[in-house]
Amino acid sequence: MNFKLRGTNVIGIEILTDNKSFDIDTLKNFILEKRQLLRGSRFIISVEDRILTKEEILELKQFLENVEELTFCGFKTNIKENREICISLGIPCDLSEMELEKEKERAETEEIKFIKRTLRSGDKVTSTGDLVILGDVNPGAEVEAGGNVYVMGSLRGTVKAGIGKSEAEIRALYFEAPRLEICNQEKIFDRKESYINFRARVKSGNLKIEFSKKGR
Amino acid sequence: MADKVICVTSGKGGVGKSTITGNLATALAAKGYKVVAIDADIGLRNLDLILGLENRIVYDIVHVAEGVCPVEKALVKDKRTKNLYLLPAAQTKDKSAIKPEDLVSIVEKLRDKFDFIFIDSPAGIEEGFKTAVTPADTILVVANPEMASIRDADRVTGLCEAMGKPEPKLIVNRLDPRKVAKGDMLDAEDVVQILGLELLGIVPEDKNMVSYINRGEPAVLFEESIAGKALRNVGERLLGKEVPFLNLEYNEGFFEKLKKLFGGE
Repeated sequence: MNFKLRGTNVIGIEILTDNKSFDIDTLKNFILEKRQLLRGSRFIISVEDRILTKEEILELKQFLENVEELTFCGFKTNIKENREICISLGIPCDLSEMELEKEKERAETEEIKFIKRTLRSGDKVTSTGDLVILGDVNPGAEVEAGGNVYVMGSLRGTVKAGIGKSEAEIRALYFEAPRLEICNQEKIFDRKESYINFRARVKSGNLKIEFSKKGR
Repeated sequence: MADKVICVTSGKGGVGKSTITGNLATALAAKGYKVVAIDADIGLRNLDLILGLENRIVYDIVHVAEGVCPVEKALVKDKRTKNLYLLPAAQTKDKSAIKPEDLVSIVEKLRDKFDFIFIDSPAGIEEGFKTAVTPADTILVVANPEMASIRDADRVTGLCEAMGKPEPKLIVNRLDPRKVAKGDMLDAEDVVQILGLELLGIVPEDKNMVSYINRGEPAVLFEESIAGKALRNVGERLLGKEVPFLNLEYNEGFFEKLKKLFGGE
């Protein structure tokens, strides 16, 4: 059993459930075990990455109503379906913040790579995480990164950033590339289109281009 | 001299590798240095035409590599320019006929006898290119001011660096100041900015170049040729001298100004 208790600054206590060993009976036992701790304070149950059935929620609700001295305030989840069921049953349910998701996206194994040279045509550099290039990316060179890409020079080659992620950015001091790709979103540029202090990023699903000056 | 063996390469074909090799070799030989030009473009022999030596070839580089004859016997002596020799490529074989080790051993045999050894590399980035670059001390990358040529030159530069060679030097060839002024052509500065290499020379477009090549007379031998003058300057820079770049600013003539005034092209 990997359930945990956590103090929150608004509600009181949050029970963090574990996706792998999640089971209604286990959860019940856990609550009974920690009854002394939970007594007198409000608490919520947080369920992440797991879809609950209506029966499960009802069972939990009945169980919690029968235990004395507990103030159950509702659920917290990152899955929309859970929330819809809860609301239809009249149980409060919060959607957990995006911040949590973002942390999960960034795996611990991700690397940050520094390239201290100019990437020439035919060169290909990849990184599971961020990529910093202290030099130019010339036409015909390819750059692929799971995270962000920073080019401390001119960016003229093809770049893919944020592969498999929902948020990432590409920055370059000078930009004159034909196309770029961030988080599977594509942007194509005209010939001779160029920017100084270029930044392209995807946040909450939108690709946004920023720059300090157009042209050379 | 450390920078004795000079390889001229470009990646893309048709940018003027052989013309520049032939002219630089001639320019240095005309200054009194003993020079040999090696044509490594086996199967697509051209350097002999540029030097006007096509009718005097008996043995070629593949004969030397196969041990048919010693290297001295295969060298063709230029009649017009003293001290200039050509080691021609074979026309009937292909790039696989010589290996990098063969060219290295040929160059080693010639190293003590000559002041400069030029190697004319084939186009492409395959074995022929690798063979030509392997023995070189210095690499000259030729690029025309257009994107396709720049990208190929960039690729070649990356490959040379991967082979552990010193950073190549750049020659911008066939620059047309008139088109640059009109904005139809990239400037030499743009090329340098992308490639990030030391600029050894800018050779302007010269409409007489074709006739020099057809006659088999290198342009550097003619005072009136502007491309020849630029190439002579490149030769001087190879000797370590500081020569200012030619002024290639395009000045509009009176009639063109008049035409512009009336909205004509």
